[in-house]
Amino acid sequence: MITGIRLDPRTKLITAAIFSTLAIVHSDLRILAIILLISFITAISTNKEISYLLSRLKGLLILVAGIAVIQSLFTNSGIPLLKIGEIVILTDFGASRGIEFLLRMGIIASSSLILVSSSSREMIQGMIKLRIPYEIAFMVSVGVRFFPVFREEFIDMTNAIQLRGLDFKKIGIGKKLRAYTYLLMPITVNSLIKAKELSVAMEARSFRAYPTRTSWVVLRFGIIDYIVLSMALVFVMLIALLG
Amino acid sequence: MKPFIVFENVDFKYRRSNNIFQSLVLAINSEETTAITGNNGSGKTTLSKLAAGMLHPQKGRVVVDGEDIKEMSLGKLGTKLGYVFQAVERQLFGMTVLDELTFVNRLKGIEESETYAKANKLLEAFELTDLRDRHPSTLSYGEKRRLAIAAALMSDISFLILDEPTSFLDPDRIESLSSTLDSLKANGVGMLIISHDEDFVARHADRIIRIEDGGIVDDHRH
Repeated sequence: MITGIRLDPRTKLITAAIFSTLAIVHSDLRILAIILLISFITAISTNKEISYLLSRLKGLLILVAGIAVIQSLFTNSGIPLLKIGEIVILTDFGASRGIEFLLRMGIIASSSLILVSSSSREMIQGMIKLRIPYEIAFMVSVGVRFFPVFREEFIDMTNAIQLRGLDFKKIGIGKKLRAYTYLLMPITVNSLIKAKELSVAMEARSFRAYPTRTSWVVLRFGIIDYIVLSMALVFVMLIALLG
Repeated sequence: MKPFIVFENVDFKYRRSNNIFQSLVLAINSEETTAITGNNGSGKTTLSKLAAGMLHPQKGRVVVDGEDIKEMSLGKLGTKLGYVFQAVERQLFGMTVLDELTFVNRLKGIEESETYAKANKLLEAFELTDLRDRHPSTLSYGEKRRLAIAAALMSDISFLILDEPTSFLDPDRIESLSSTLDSLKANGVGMLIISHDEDFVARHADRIIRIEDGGIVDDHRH
């Protein structure tokens, strides 16, 4: 399998947008499965560290699978597939809705894996070249840039509260929820302080002082970008024909 | 002297980095104050987080009070040792100073009278009584650090790890913190101080360990 293909950020943004839009527009399970397969192949091809990224997504994937199961069980319409006495546990429609949700979330996760293979600076430049206003592109990039910082802080805080001798495995769900509410306060306060400091730092560096900006990041489309975008276009037409 | 934290042939590396520690062997005693010094990026904080079970080694093991930390939850480890972060605001959760000291015991279901008696004693010992109704975020950095130490002591620990305790403190606040540490030492609390403040280390440490590039380059008693 080829991995680590370097694509222009614009190509990644466009392909990710195509896959995500198709995932929302279509509800046919076979078509969604095809989109998932193609989007996952694209994600593998553009990322060198796909196994590491998947391991980071493990928690989210388990959550999505759990929601899909709950959605299947709570949908009553359709032909019963599983019954206990008179109680319908699973119907064909419920199972189909659950699988549909799972496939859609898989496509969205694959699309985000395509995007994370570029640096946030490249992504901003890609968005600007696609005529997205700089302020919005910058906001997206700040969100992405600060995510690891907030994650590290959150981990330190959960460690700190447990290191006070509070064993999460030994307290009940009610007390565990109360412990998490204690975590909310410093997380919120620290986020607000960081946002304020960032805005001051940006003003100090004359953010938005001039209407146009120059950038040292220069994006150039390569042959591989034209090939991938052409394939994406053909793929959209094929899906439109199948749908 | 009894070893309290033992690193047995520990290898540790962060993702995308070279080995920070390779075959690290180190025993830290419970009845003394040990200081870890070294330049920025030498692995001081990593070592302290390994000792406190926040990180786990790729090879070897870390033993605290005779138990492998892999076999212990952080909650259990927190009954043996306390940890004071460099960024102390990451460990202050309460709505008031008093709440900060008492909320964990309330969650654990410990008798209220016992909890508040202990909290009041610590408020007095750490000169926080007048601040008991203040929100922790409104305290000075020195007060926050004293509060974090007092909060750690609420769970009857006998060992404290302090990561860069003098950072962001002016000389007066460092002096006040020093008095706090002196009284902890007098009460038999062992300490591991991570610091590159040589004067502070010289004042408090019984043993000074210098690490560089993931290895111990100096280990002497003071």
